[in-house]
Amino acid sequence: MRMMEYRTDFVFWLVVSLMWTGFNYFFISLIFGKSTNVYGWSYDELLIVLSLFTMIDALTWSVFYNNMIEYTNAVFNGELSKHLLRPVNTIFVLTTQKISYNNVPRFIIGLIVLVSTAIKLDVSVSLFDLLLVTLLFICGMVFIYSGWFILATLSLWVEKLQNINDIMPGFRQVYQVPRQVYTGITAFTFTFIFPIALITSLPGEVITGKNPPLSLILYFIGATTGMALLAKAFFAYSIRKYSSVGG
Amino acid sequence: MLKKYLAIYRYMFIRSLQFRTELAIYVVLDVLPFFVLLFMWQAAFAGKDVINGFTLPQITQYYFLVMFIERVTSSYFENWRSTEIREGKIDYFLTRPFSYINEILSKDLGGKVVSLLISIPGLLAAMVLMSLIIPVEPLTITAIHATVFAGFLILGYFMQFCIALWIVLLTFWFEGSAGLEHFKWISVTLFSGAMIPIEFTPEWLQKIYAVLPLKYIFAVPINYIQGNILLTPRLGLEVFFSFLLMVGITKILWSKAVYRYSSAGG
Repeated sequence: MRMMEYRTDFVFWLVVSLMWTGFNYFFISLIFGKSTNVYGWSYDELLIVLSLFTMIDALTWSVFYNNMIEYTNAVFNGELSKHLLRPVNTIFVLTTQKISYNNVPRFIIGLIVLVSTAIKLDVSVSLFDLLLVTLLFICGMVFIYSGWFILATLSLWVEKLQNINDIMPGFRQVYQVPRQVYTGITAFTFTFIFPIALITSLPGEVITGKNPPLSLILYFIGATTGMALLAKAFFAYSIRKYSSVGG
Repeated sequence: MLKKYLAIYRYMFIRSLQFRTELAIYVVLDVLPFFVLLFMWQAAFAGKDVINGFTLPQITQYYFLVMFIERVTSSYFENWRSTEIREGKIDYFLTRPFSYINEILSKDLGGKVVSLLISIPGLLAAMVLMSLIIPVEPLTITAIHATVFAGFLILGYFMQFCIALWIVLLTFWFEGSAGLEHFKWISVTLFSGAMIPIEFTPEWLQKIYAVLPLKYIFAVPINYIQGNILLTPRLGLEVFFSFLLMVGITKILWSKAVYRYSSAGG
């Protein structure tokens, strides 16, 4: 209902969302369209990774972005108290206030391209693979959410950082392509230190039958769990610094 | 006449200094997509020396120039200016001898100068670091080239300013601006040469690119400083008339938009 307040803008958002999706696929086709093999990935296999990125990105903007903005604004305006006083989990309340639907078409497009490319490639995915892909997809979402929440919680420590919510989305390009694209210290950083390159790469590797190392899968699941626990602990620790305004 | 706008410029210059940390973060956020992009190109060049007449070091040089031009010419005031209009807070500028458009320009210029002072050293440092990882073609330029390039940058800034202003002015009709803002990003990225050298794009895109003036923001200055094109009288005239056209559209939009404005209270 809130989104329909500015209907033209909502329609524009839908169009723009579709345009960004088309733009991403177009751009990848311009760079890799003529390549037969990119570090072991064919162009169609790259589309699988890009589709996973599109789906995760659509969910990220739909679910996380507005809520993180609301959260940091509540901190900066001293209005967090109303959430802290509620008899429910504060983190849950803070991150489920607003959900936007204008990225839903993006998610659907990502899913359609993913399925159609998988059919084109004639990939055979077992039930176990499907469950693993789903688990890794959820892990990817949780990883982004936790990282973003930690950054948003930093708003309790700094005077005012307007763009604190732009940092995590700033890293999204990293998981637009498979992890093998990165080399040297960058590959190490995005695979182990801040394993953001694994978000779409691992499920992509499972779908395309590249059999990613089990140790890497377990590492990513462990890193995601660690990140989620860290986000929770950091919030519990940081909230002590919060001082409200007025009544 | 200019004094009042100079005061606004000075105010914004000082105010922008408060946001130093934000600016530093924006530099990193601006550089990161290019960093990833260069890895993508490195992957595309695996096993190949030349693609569409470009080597990898030339591509890197191209994107370094895109990064630099983007930082110098971009304007991001659409969001809060549109809110200002939507909430009916521009009465002040309509009832006093004070141009709203000039006020936006003065503030944006004030903020831009601080932004450049803080971000350009950071951007150059990022480029040096990136060049240690991905090879880059060195750029040799003469004083004339540098001067003309600086002229292109100033012109590019005013063009980007005009486009951002169109988004703000369209708020008089469309109420919200966020969708329009993204529409601007996509259009500028796609049709200015910021996304990819034009040689890599399909024919249909090259035809649109040839007609639109957006190429004067990125592609033409880059091609000029790389020595691929010369500043001919014809090019100069084309640039000049494109700019005039954009200013003309801005003036028409403003004159139509102001009649749609209504606010209440004091």
